[in-house]
Amino acid sequence: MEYQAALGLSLPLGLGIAAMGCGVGIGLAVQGAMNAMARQPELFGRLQVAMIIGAAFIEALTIYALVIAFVLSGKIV
Amino acid sequence: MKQAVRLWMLAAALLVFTLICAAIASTQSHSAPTQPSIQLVAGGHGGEAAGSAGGEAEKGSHYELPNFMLWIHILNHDRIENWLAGVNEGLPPLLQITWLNIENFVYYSIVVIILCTVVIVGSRRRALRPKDKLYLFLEVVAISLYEFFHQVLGRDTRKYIALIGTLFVYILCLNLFGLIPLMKSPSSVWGVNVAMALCVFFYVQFTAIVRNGVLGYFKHLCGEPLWLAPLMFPLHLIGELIKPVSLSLRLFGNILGEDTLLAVFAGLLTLAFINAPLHLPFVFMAVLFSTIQALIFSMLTAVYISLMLPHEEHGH
Repeated sequence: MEYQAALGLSLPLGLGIAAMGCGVGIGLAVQGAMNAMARQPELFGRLQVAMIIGAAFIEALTIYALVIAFVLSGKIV
Repeated sequence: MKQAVRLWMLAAALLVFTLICAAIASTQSHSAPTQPSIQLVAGGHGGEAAGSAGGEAEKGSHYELPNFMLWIHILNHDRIENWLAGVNEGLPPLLQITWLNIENFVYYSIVVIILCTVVIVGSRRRALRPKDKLYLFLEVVAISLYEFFHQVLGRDTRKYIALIGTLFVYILCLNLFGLIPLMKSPSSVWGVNVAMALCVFFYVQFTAIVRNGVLGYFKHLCGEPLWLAPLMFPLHLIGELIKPVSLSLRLFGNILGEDTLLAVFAGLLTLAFINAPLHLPFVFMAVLFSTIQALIFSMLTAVYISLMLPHEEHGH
């Protein structure tokens, strides 16, 4: 297999796998935050800020895969 | 209070206007039937450089919306390349200049000049009961930022709000700059972000040393049970060093991803049977993500600073 074909196959696939894991992670984080907000609506603002920061940390993992994809996609052509 | 609300509405109207401008500009430049404009959409830098120069492929030929520096490059291609080659002869290999460097320099200089002008002009007419609308707007921004970061930093907010608030406003402007027609987000380049992240890194370490003392700083790095220090010291060291990398990579990847997504969907307009601005929903998503990324960058700076402050109970 030529390396262009390997890259063309594996970059979207790897990005998809990363997005899958991060989707599960963000889902769990938002679930926890929503539960907490429903139990204590007076803490809504602080919980939302903490949730967004946590979601950003989780999302960064997909972004790393995306950066790798951007870096390596120049080699496909 | 009423005036503040009206100013926010003004800002929102400006934002909507920017969105519409972005949509119209990209529609027109992408749906133009001539061949060069299609090349402008789909080419990016690597593409058209590879066409004439032969082998400059390692820059990565990602999609991007047209910006005016790209047009300048295409219109004066040979002259600029000759000039760059002449400049690069005298430089060591690590400092070689490409057109991309000049482009980003121009764009973030524009942002800095606009921001500085607005702030200097606005803050010149200070008063106890201000009537100036620009000054009121700036005051609303400053106060809301102060109250927001007060949740994290507590009574130390006053000391550090200058850096954090500036970072927020600056990054927000950098991110939103790509939505203006013929402009490009300077923060979709790693170098710009890594500069900001290094500033944050050094500032956090400096703050830690000033607030804890040198001994307290190393004690903080060694962790709580002192006999675990040989294990925890390298871990904390790596943790500190990885912070600027993750900060800058997060911002860079998000903004570059957004811009590429917009460009790809706007590029679909060149297909004959699609005649709608397909990227319009992603413009709203881009506004949302720009704000969130600016918020996260400054929020993480605040969190890093607050972790280093001495009255913290070492809750990592």
